[in-house]
Amino acid sequence: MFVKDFMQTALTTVTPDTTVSTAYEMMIMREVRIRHLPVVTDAGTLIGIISDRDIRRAGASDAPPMAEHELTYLLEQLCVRDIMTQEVVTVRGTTPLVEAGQIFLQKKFGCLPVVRDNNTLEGIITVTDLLRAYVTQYDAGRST
Amino acid sequence: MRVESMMQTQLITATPEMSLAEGQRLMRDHNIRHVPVVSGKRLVGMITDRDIQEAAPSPATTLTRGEIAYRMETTPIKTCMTKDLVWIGPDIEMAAATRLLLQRKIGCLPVVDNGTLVGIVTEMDCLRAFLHTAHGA
Repeated sequence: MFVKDFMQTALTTVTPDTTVSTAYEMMIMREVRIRHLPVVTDAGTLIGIISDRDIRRAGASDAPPMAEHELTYLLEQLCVRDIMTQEVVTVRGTTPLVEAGQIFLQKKFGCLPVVRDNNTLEGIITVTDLLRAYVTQYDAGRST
Repeated sequence: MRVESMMQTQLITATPEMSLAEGQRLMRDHNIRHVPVVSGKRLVGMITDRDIQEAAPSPATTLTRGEIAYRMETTPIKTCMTKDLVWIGPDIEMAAATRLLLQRKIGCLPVVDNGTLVGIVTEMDCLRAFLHTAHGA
């Protein structure tokens, strides 16, 4: 089983110039909250990743957790490039799932971008996708 | 592979009377996001960092920071914990536990044996189980 078999390819991405508040809205204004957005150039090259935690940290103060609209207001001034993680660990579609799983366990990431040879973004794979693979494999093993 | 061989048994637990602030400190000190709430050894709820965040008063109110801190120190966990619990027994397969996590979209399952909390299984434990079986295959 390889990353390409279980990765997600319908992606929501941002560019480095997207405001942080827009990125945050893209994360929360959906049925299923997403926690990571890949940052790509207009040519589709992956240059970073931004997580809801990065955003919360950017708006962090010693005040108690902020309400969503307050955080949005504070973050209208910032762009994604200002707070994104630039050194992104990536995998390929041909990476074995087990290898991606080891990266998740070692680095405690929740999400890995999948890139092609020229570093353009092909998909993302999350811990949840690996757990789907586990259940699929288990079911297949029982039915044979 | 059964749950009992992969579950975490060194448990950090909270009590229903513990304050939200204490719960937050517990999660921060141990770097965890899910805490079972027990009364004696009996599981009565689960509390997550998100539950506490959502229960915390917004600073947009007229409350001062001191008042907010006071509320966090005096509001008990039982007011915002999940009481409608999904739990598993120690002898089910890890893959079945994983399926339950995915179906319920939760990050952690308490393991209960004879009415007593004996462990928890998180999505990372499920991932470890997957890597074990994939290596063995």
